[in-house]
Amino acid sequence: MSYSYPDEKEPALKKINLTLNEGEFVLLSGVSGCGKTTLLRAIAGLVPDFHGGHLAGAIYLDRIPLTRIPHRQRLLKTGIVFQEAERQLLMNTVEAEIAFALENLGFPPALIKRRIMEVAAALDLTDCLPQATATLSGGQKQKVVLASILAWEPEILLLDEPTSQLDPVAAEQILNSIRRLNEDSGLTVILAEQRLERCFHLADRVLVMKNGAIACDEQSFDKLSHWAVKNETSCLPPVARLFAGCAFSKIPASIKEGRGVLRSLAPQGDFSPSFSAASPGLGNKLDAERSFEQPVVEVEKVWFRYPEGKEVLKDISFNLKAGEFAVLMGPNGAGKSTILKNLNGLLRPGRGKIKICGRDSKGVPVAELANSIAYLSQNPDDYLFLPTVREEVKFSLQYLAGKDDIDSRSDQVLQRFGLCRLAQLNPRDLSSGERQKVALAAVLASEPRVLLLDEPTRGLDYRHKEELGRILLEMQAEGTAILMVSHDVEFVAEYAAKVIFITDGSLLCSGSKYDMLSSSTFYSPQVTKVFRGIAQGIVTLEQAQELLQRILYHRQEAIPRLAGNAGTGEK
Amino acid sequence: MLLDPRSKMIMVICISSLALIYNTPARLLQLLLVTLVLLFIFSFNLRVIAGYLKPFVFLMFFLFVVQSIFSPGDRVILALGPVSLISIEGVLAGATVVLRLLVITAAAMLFTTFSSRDFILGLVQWKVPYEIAFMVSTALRFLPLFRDELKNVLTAIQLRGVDLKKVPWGKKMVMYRRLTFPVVYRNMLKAEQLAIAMEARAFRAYPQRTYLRQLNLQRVDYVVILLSLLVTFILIMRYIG
Repeated sequence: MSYSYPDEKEPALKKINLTLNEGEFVLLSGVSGCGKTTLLRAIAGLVPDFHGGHLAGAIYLDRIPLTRIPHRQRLLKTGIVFQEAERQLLMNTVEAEIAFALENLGFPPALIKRRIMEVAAALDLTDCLPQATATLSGGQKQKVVLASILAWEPEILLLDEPTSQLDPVAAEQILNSIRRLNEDSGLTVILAEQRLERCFHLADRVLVMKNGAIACDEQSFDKLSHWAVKNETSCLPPVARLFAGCAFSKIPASIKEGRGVLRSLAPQGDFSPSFSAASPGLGNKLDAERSFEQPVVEVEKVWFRYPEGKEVLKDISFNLKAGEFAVLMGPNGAGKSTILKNLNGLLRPGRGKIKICGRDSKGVPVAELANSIAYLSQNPDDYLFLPTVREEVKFSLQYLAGKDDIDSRSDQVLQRFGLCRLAQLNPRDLSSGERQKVALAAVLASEPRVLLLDEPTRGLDYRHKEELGRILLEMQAEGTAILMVSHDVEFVAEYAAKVIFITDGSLLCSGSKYDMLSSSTFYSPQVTKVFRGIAQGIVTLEQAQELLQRILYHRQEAIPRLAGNAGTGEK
Repeated sequence: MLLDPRSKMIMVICISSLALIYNTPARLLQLLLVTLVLLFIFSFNLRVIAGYLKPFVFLMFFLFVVQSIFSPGDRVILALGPVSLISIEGVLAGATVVLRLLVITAAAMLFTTFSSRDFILGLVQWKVPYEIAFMVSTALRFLPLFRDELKNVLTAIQLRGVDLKKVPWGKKMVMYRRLTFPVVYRNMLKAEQLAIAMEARAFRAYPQRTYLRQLNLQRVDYVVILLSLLVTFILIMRYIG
């Protein structure tokens, strides 16, 4: 099957041959723009029916060509959930939302009531049925969308990155409920997802897409990981990458399997003390050097509430020094974004004081604060309105950084962000990852002292994430203080230095990422989970690989000794 | 008070018709008071109404001034040499226009005392085609989204170092013109996403759809509807006649 969108020369899907079996849980991975979404749309019949374009070949459901199944029956067979729950909610209340599709399908009211009751119970939504959808958290909203699809009991559930907006706890809940439905009721699930660490272990089968074609299709995890090691390790979750990097022949897929392998290598013994002695944390050294400096951001006992609302921030205090890279983490709705907006003046604290570069921000207009404090919101598109990328950068330089030698400086900025190739293009024609980079270049053009980022890795594939991480580390090395809000534990573990946990508007705790992430249950990266109980303070992939190699080395040394002296056991 | 949304719709229509027919400030003021009492009965927070009206205060004042100046009248209050600027008739005409706007806006607030779903349901049960009812209610829901989008873009431009208060008017107009396109474009994207979501949930899959809820007119609804229509009819007759 091949498909091209109208007005596009390059086909979005190229000669795809694929058979999916009933009851399978299929994970669809690949970089953004590889055709995952289009493939899901094609199976749902939205392509070409809704979007137009040309489809060659055929899709069969139960051996009947999709084009020959009447529209209504096809609707009953498949259900599709998209990325942003916000944009899929059509009604005011949860009950009405779930009922909407059933009403459209002409179900009798009594049956509708029963289905709503059942699906709400299955997804733990019973209590919110009468609530307005606008009052729900992000995770609940996505659950409501899911419920509204599951209510008519489709045979195939198609999910297009359903957890990209959610915190790790909410994401895990949703994915677990989907897995349960798959196991209990034989629902076929096709899940497209970027964050493999969240769902890799749930899938029966993994498809990797590349440039509109299927590059790899494996049911056995061993074969997939061997393929991945040869071609692209990025389609493996961190735990598998860890073992693949150390040339293991059998690569574990889940944390549980990984722990099993580790346990067999190092049956006892805590490896962490010697480890931390071997490499004193780079971050600590920097912290010590900087402790005398004046912080660039000082937050003192800040309280905030929206008009006619309850307190969103309660007595928040923290500092940020030049060259620090801190992350605000916590559940959806904890007040993380509100903190950022208080810092850059979009919101003003009710009580408490905020100092930027030693100066009280009270009464300073947003535009003036923007000189020293750059902010990238969740929607980078808000920033882009000029016809070319170059003009976007020039605009910022003009307003933020005075008026001299704008041309040469904009060239510098473009070069630094790797945007020279795109300089003459319209930002709207770029991919979402590229657009974000342009917005980042635009706010950073004036070389501010502080950078605030709200969920910058949302919807980015690994390539763009790596690039973003590289740019952020560069900025940090030059002395920019970075404060980021993120749910992306793996990204934080790899690049950030300090973690601040926020719950319900209060500061819960803060510290270096090594302390904070390794002691958390949900907010810890996969490598930490794998090494829990074996070694502490393992947060980055590099650390983990180093440690694993050391364990292997120890073992190699130990084997001859063991053979000679069987009773003494291992070190 | 639990009234059927249709009863409230009838009330809004009656009040609005009266507001359009009445042409003196005194009558309109009476009508405004009645409307406010009605809103109070439906336990509507008057502070919220003030919040809704706040952005329009300037517009209303502007309308009032323009009407006062451009309505001709004999009893001159303020004159510039031989040219009369403001007359009593003009002031009355201005007050009429502003009061009329206020009455209609206040009456429309009654719509917000029930959900858009009930609005659709009410219309459908009065044989308005479902698609049209749904379209109207979705359009109403889309307006605030449009406003939010504009606000986001204006915020972003300040974050890029533009203090909108300090930018001269000519430049500001150029900037606004440039901002219009992305705002419209993104709203179209939003609308498209909404349309896909509707399609994915079987919107218009069948010519007939069912409804989980049924609205039933109670005795009190009939009373309210009949009374509203009767009172309005009598008032109009008396005013014209």
